[in-house]
Amino acid sequence: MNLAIRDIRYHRGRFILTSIGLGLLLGVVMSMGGIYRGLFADALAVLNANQADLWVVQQDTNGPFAESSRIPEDIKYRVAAVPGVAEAAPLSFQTLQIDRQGKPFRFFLIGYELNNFGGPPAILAGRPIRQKHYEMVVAKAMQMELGATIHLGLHDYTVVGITGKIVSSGGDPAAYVTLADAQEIQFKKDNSAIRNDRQRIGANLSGVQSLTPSQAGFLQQNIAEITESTHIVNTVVAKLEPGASLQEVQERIKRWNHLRAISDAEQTAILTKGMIEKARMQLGLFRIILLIISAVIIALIIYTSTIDKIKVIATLKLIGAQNRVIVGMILQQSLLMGIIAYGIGYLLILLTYENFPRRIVLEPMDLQGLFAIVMVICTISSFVGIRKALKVQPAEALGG
Amino acid sequence: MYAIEVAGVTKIYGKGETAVTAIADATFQVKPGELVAILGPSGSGKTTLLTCIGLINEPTHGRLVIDGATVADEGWQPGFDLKRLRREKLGFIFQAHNLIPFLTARENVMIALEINQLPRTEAKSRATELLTTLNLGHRLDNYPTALSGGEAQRVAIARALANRPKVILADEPTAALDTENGKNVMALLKKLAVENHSAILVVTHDHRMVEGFDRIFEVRDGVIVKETQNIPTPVANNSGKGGDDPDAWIDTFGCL
Ligand SMILES: Nc1ncnc2c1ncn2[C@@H]1O[C@H](COP(=O)(O)OP(=O)(O)O)[C@@H](O)[C@H]1O
Ligand SMILES: [Mg+2]
Repeated sequence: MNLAIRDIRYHRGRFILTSIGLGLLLGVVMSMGGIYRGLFADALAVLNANQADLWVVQQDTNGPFAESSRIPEDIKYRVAAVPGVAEAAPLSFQTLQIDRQGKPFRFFLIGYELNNFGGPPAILAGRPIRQKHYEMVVAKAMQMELGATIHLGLHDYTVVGITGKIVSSGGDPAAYVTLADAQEIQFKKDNSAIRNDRQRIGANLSGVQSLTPSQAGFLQQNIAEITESTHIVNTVVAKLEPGASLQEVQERIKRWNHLRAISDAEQTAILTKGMIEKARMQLGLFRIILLIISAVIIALIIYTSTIDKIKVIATLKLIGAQNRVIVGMILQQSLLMGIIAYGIGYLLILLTYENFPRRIVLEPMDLQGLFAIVMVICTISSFVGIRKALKVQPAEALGG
Repeated sequence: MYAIEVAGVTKIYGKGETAVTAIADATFQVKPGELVAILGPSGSGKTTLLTCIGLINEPTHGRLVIDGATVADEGWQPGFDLKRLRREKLGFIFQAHNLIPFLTARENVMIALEINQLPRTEAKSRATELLTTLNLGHRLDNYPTALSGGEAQRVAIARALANRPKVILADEPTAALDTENGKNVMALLKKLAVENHSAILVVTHDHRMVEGFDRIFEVRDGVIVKETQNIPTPVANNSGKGGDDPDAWIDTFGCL
């Protein structure tokens, strides 16, 4: 006869409530693990979508994600010309915040060259961008229908395709437009801004009768501000030819001295170690704290339930029950509580994780690890109760 | 062979100035099938004597023989697994019924059998049989809280009997019952002593409860001061006014 299960059956209300409470805690622990994995997946989403071997960015920067990087678009020709490089594609990234139904909505706009790589990895619905202008492919998380429009800069953009879970390293959903559109959105000012600039320049020039060379330069600079080339990108990604040496290509690009070529592995390290390390540590800390709280709760519950059973334990000892019967009862109860709480937590996460604002990635290995940890915690937590139970004297069964 | 042999058993609690001699130089024997009472006021050492015989309290001095095995002689003798002796040779009945609250009546009896390595199905059938004999066939799946005082104590008796022990030890088994139920429990014990050929040692402070006992030891301040033989059983006691379930009680004695 299993005493642990009989006791639980008899006190099922108390047991279920406790398990639900613990289950919620474990659910939070699981979600934190999932959030961390999600951070990881988010941080690397754009990286993995591009499958580039090299990220050419502005000199001395960890661009384009961890730090800002601006390079001329035509670098792409020079990168493509480097021996060992198969193809090169310029990319532009910007985070935009628009007003959607009265609420601010942030997303990550990626500009890529049509007929080059770096675009949306998979089209789940609709079609890829075909026209040079005003078409857009959005990630599912943008929650936009095919055919919907969005006003960015000076124009309306129409959603022609839906792609998967592409997000910025900050977790904002991504949208793709052509590089030209992206540059226009980034650099083309609207009419009032242009009018303002012209007025400012006009005022600057109003007192000038004849221009000295330096004044002429000043004038040129001001005018350039309006008309200046918008052919700026954040990075040029490159794929290597089969068998090409990554290091040699990196070296060559670096020797130009005003560019840095970051390998895919280095970029991964920059994104994970640099950007999400703190979040990881924080989540880890919270997880440890929650597990300690769970341990304390389990220990307390098991201890009080042992105290409640002193007379039962004394009676069992008196009628000759072996210690293993008593230890088994307490330990099994503790483990059962852990198993049920884990189950409740898991169910909770399974039912809700799709609706979390940030991506939650449930790794079987993490879940199995947590289960093992919960079992260890239950075992250790039951020791206080077991210690107490082993000290009970059979004579305590006598008397009123 | 005696079921219980107590020779010069003395129990002293504590040491030095605070030492309390709870039982002093107790000597007696109980035969199988004998129903013996230990009668005395509160604090006279009855429970102490019972716990020494029950192998949960080491006698300070003296010899203790249970079913032929010299378990204590100036302290526990080596080589005995006291727990095992308790579960194989002894049955305990308590003042409060001490049933396990989260087990049903039948499971409470089964647990005593299962810790004695009886297979589950056999334990179940024996528990059912035993409880039915004690007229608790309709209470098998009730939890202790749903049982009356008399019923609970009968379940406790069934548990004590389950392993067919040589010795049954009862510490104030009637203290939590009214007089009627108390007398019925005592009558039941008497019956069982005869039928099962067990030695039954009952501790009580209530002299009204010892009718029909074979012998009574009266204890005062740890010393057995008087021994009385063969207490007559007034016939009137078993005539129809049993505690919570009179007819059932009478039936019980009829079929045992
Ligand atoms: N564990 C103990 N430690 C010290 N003194 C005890 C202990 N148990 C009982 N006593 C003392 O021994 C005496 C006899 O107690 P007990 O055997 O319980 O008597 P009874 O069961 O007749 O009421 C009392 O004076 C009691 O205070
Ligand atoms: Mg007592």
